[in-house]
Amino acid sequence: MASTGKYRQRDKQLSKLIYPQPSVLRPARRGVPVLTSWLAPIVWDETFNIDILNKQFQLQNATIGLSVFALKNYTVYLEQFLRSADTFFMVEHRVNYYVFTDQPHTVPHSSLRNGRKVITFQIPSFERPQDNAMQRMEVISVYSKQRLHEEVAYFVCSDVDVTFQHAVGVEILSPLFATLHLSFYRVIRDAFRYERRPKSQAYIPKDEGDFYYTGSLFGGSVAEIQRLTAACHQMIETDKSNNIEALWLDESYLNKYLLYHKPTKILSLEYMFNSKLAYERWASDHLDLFSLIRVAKILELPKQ
Amino acid sequence: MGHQTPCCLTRSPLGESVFLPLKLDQENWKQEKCEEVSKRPGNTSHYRGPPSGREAPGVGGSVFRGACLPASILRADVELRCYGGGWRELEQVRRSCGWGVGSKNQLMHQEKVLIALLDAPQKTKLDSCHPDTEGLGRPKCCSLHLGILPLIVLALVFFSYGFVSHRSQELGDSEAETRMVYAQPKVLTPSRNDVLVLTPWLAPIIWEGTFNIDILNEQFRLQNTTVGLTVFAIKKYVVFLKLFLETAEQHFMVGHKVTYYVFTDRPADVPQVPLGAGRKLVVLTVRNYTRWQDVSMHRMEMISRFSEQRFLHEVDYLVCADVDMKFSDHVGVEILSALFGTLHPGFYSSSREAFTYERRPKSQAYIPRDEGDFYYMGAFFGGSVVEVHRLTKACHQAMVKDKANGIEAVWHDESHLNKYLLYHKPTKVLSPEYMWDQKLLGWPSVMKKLRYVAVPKNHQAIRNR
Repeated sequence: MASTGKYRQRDKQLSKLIYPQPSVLRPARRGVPVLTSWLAPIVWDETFNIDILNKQFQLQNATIGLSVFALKNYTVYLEQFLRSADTFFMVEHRVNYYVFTDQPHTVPHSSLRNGRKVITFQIPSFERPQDNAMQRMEVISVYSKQRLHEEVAYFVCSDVDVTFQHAVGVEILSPLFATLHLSFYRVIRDAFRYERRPKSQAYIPKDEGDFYYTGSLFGGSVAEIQRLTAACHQMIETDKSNNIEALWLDESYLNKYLLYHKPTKILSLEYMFNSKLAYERWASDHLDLFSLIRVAKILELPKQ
Repeated sequence: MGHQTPCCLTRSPLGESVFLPLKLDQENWKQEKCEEVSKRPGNTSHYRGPPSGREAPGVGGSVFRGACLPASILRADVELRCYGGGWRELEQVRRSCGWGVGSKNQLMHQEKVLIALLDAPQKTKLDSCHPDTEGLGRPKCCSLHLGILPLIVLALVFFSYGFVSHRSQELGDSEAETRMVYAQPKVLTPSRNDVLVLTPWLAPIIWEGTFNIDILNEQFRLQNTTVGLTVFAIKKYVVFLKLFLETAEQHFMVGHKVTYYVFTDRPADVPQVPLGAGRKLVVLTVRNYTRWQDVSMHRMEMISRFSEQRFLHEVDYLVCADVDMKFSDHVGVEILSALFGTLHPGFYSSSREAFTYERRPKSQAYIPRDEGDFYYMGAFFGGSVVEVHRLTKACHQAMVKDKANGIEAVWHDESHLNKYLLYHKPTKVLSPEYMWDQKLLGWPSVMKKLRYVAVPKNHQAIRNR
């Protein structure tokens, strides 16, 4: 019964660090939500001190896994993805890149930062792009159950057609984290593109929902990711046997899961920026996301 | 899915590529979880009855909440018929097994089946397992007869309260919640614009308006959380116990399991305060000290000792509070975290140079003027039992060292607490709503609620007596 709460390193303490004092009566950032109603932080730039977080993480001495799926013609994105991740992703820490592809020979062998390696898996590709997208849940759930927990402490699942533009560090790490979808920021929940057909396992009624999360970036501890992907895969399978497929594929199932298993951290719009969609928000409802998002850390690349 | 098994391309130690087939064994995943769960002593929750309000008979009048069916019993047509409980519980079980979430109609239907079965198993026949098949395929029909009853009982035996899983070590909060209707979190106007709600290390600072207590209550209830509240009533301080406990009954962790640990040298003077359901009081007799400073400081030693011996096995979280206080408003699970401290009401707007940290380098509690996040109050801190044990042990050892070096920190245990929390940052920080003195500080507008407040006392009369 006794829960140990969040994992903390035994008897290890932080060393002396000099930084400005936080001000209780002056929030670091106004105008954006930085905490959910279940007390999960929403990570925006300037709300955190990366030196403190880095020192805390070093006490854990853990490795982070970053996974991508590159099937069929998506392999063209691999080189840019890996190069930019190597420059900006978790720079002071150990990272394993996991590449799931149907063409292992396309995985670039450029030199990586010290302490990093690329682990490549061959998986089948399908005719339907929807099947390719959705098999990610199954593949991750199987692999995370097998050996992943021996290799990494945290596992991050990303789309491959993105590039890192600024430091993305340990501020994102948490037992279960997801990223806000830019197109649905400040949108009323009944307009979220949740799956609305009750027949589907991904169904969410119009009066429920906290946020709309993007399927492009999520992660957490290995145990939590195993649970999430297994649950999503199960939902996908059940839907398949009922002849239905959620409209927005794995993203719909992800949103369903995260409604009832609330994330412990949420990444802001900075962590999955899309200039075309941002422009559309400006055009449609005059929401200026370009000034709201001071640092676009991860950028979605236009389709090739 | 009907596709080939994915393969894993790995490098063998010799550097060649090796193909290993990955096994897709979802069933075994469920099996593992079930086995682990059934090893636990069953935490059964009493069956509250179906929406119609009837009590359901069978299985000793209680059913089990949560967890999975063993793989051998998992068959698509059996599904969750082998179960009782409200619609909520069924929903939870489905989710915890990763099964799809049924519609309310489906679940109520299944519930009706079980009630009928337990009432008159030989007479019950089921025409349709899925009331709303929506024209999909053929309705899977199954008839229930006595032969299935042992199977159902067996299935029920495997149920136990499965939400306190191994993952509680990492997560400690989020588990599968049920449908709840609440207002959408506001994004345009964040709840509190006037105060800091997040520390630089991304720990929440708890103010009124930052949390939805219904979501949090559900998360913690799902884990069957038990909270221990330690309080020291040494010598004349026993007079504060009655008000402390009475107001705690009204405001502290209402709806959750609570154990009060009253440390006292006068067990006969502990008042009889009526306690609500799921709440109990344990009196721990300890020695007193002549000096009030020693009484205060030895709390660390005693909490540390009892954490190891006792609290670890009895509660999930510990809250360590001063007794000369009363609860005046809600203090609930929003405070619970691996390690939390409370902002001292006198220093939340001060600069760190003005914090009354111990400033003599000779003391173990020394903090230089260019360091410090907040000034925490010694009267209200807590966390998981493991973390509180670490904290209290470290503080006690630091005080022993200081004593050997002939020095006593300026604010005693509070100085050492602040030193500890500087280098072991808390995972939640409570605003001064959780530690206030209205007589001294009034009621500023930034405090939307005063939750735990000082009770007026005559220091001269009460200390050292």
